[in-house]
Amino acid sequence: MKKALQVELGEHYVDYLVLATGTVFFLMFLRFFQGDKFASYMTVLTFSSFYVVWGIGHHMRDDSVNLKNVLEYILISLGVLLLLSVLFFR
Amino acid sequence: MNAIKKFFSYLFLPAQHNNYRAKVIHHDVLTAYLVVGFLLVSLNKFVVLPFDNVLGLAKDITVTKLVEYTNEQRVNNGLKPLIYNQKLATAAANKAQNMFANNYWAHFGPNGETPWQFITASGYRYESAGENLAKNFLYSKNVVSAWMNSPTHRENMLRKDFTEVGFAVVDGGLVGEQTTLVVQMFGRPSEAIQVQNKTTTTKKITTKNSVLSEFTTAQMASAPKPMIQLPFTSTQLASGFLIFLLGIFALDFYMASKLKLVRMHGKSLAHFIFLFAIAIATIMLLVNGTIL
Repeated sequence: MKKALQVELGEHYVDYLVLATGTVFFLMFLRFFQGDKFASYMTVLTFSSFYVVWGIGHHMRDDSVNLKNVLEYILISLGVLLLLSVLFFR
Repeated sequence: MNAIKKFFSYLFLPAQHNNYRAKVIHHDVLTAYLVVGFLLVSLNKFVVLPFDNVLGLAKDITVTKLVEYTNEQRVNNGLKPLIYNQKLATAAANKAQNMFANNYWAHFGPNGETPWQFITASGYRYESAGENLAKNFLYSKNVVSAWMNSPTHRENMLRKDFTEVGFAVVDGGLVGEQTTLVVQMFGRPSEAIQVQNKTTTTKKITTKNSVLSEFTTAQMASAPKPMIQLPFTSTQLASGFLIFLLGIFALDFYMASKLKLVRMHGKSLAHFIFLFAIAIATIMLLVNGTIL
């Protein structure tokens, strides 16, 4: 598994660096907007959209982009939005 | 036994019979999760959680700490500390009970209840008064910090006019969720009434409070009952599902690397990183709660 991890991260280090940067910014903004429900939800929405775009970009660079892949990233992003809306609107 | 083993392997492990991808993360199943989740959120009013079970998360919110942190903020801003007032605390407790009984999260109730109504009913006569609300927090310090970070709540916290404060920390079910409500009531007693109150017997105040308690109990009894009661809270369900997905994508990445699979699917590692970030966000949201 360690080797597979090294191979995956090594081959696509730019992509994963972008994802990691986006993640750090997401968490920073969420901390910054603490208490502001609307701004926090917008941050989650932006991060979810970013993830879909990242996924498409990553698979394009990998020459493996197809409708199923795009659908998978959209489904996971929508699922996360739904999960977090439960927490936001509880 | 073999059939069960095969079924679980089909659900959770990549193999030939599930096209080398755990069935629980196939597109159709992911879509099904989304539809079920959407239905649960949409039908929240009808499929609700039991109101009397224990909180899903341990919390550390106490009135003593809330008073201490509130006064710490006032002193740091060059103001006098607030004096804890039992009548304001009673008003706060009755407000919290009313919110649970009528299932609302607002300063003003659905039947026209106002914060001032609870303060007056507790026997407190005021020149000026205010109210801050919070729910779903785990720590007293975070409640006070959230209020201080919001301009309108901060204004209440640091208002020169206010001299007294009362708190209520109450657990219960609100809008389909087990939660801890924090009600903070501020006040400055009316001087004329204060003198009058000194002559009023304690008995009279007690009678007033008991009438209010009866009223609250009656309202709780008439609160609408959900059609279906689930044995867990929506937060527990959402958090549990997130942990499940994290586990599945980690397992998928491990199995795919072990079997040296080359697939044309989305990247499980990327999904894991994304969901891990969301898990951290969830913890941040759970710890921080909501203010009003």
